[in-house]
Amino acid sequence: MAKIDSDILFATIPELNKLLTSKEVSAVEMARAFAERLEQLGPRYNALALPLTQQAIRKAHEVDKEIKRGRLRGMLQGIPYGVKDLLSFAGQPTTWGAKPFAAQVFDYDATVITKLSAVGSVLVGKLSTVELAGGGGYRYAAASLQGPGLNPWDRTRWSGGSSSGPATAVAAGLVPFAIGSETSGSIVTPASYCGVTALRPTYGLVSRHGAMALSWTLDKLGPFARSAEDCGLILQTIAGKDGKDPGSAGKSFYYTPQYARPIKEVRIGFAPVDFAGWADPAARPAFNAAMDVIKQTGAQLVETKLPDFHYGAVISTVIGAEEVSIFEDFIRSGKVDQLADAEQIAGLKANLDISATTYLKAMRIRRLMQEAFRQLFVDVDVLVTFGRDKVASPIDQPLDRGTPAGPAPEDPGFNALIPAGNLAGLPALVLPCGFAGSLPVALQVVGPPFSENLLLAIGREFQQRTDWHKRRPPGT
Amino acid sequence: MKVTRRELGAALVSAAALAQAPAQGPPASPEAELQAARDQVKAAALTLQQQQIPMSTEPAFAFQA
Repeated sequence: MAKIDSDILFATIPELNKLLTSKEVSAVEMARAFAERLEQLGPRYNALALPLTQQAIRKAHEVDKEIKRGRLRGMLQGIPYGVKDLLSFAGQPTTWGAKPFAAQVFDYDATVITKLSAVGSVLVGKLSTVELAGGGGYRYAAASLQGPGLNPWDRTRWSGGSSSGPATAVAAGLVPFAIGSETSGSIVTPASYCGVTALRPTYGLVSRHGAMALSWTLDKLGPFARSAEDCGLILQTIAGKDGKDPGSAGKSFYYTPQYARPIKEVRIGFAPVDFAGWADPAARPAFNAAMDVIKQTGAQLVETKLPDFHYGAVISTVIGAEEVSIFEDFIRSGKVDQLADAEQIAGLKANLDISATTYLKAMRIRRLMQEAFRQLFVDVDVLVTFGRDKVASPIDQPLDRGTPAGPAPEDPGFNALIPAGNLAGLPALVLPCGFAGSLPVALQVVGPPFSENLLLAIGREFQQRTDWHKRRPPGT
Repeated sequence: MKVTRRELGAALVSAAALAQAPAQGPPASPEAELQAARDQVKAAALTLQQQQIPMSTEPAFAFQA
């Protein structure tokens, strides 16, 4: 049996694929190594929702037989992975991270799991999530069935949410990649806090069939991985038309790095106030150095402003109205009181007050936002800012009580890019870009709908010049 | 639906004129928590109500590249 050393645990998908196809390591050996590591270390970070070790080893045996017969199914064949526990896996609990749903079992697989299984990827476990993906809002990191997501870089800090488990598991080398979800910030935030590369795809590009619905017009699924290239390989597999998802855009995605535009032709919009005014002072040197790297690529940096809308009011209304429609029976029956977070319980109840008129007003303003972004992307190709302006917060600190470093700048910069990008259905790539103290920080690059290949090209260029995405948390 | 630059500009100006609600500390009881959450819903609704948008603007139920 080949020795699975720590380099393999933090290897990229092409590196793992080479080991498998050269038969240096079998799929069973790889699956067993990651599954056992996930079982052993996942609870240390409250990242593991459900181990699937036996199922993984059975699947890996099938993969080994295929590889032996020369039936190669691409880069993801035999690669272990995890999914956020709001994706259904037939016959196994799908808890949505919430106590009232702890015994819930579906009899079908989510489409992304079906697609990954078809190319021979090996599901080794389900990963923790903030309860109901944070629907209703939440005040404490402990709002999860597994407890607070603990950051692998410092377990006194939060991993971020709601895709806490996927970000943590990838950062700690428990899985090579994971699938998480974002309604507004649930991929970007934990990827930034844990120092992981991640991609929020364009709305509708990846089927959400089999995923818990929180907001039909905002929910997206996307990968957490070791590099931009890995994200491209995963997206190519999980994207595509799905008649089972009414929000499906009906588009495929082909990862085509060979056709990437020269980076010198790319116009990157940015707001200087993001890094000089909004970013935590401790994080500014890392962000400034990262922007210097982007300048060195030859890309054209263009000072830009976001369209001026009340993104917060619009997104809270859209998510609020849609989530209470989805969870109406749960809320009115009183089962909502079994959730862990008092703010979340109150938020879900209060959102029953949102009127149809208010929801439709928000959706009409959203149309104007989409048009405004369409016009913005005439002048620039992508936007860049921080993933989050601060490092991960202490685990016991209320999440709605930040510690402002000083007076907020008058210029909003791109501070609202997370809700704005989600409301406009835009893709975002998160790139680890350094540290503030012992904790990682990251950039997010946002582009027009279906511009994932451009985002990934920028990500590859950045990651060829830096090694932040290769850093490992202490003790892993 | 196509939005003209003039319509979009008018909507942006009216959005810029509205003030953001300040953040508050955590409430002491479940009743106060619920009231605080309801106040936030009302504040968001009021913010949206005050924003002027063209009558022809349709909701964003479909996304296009």
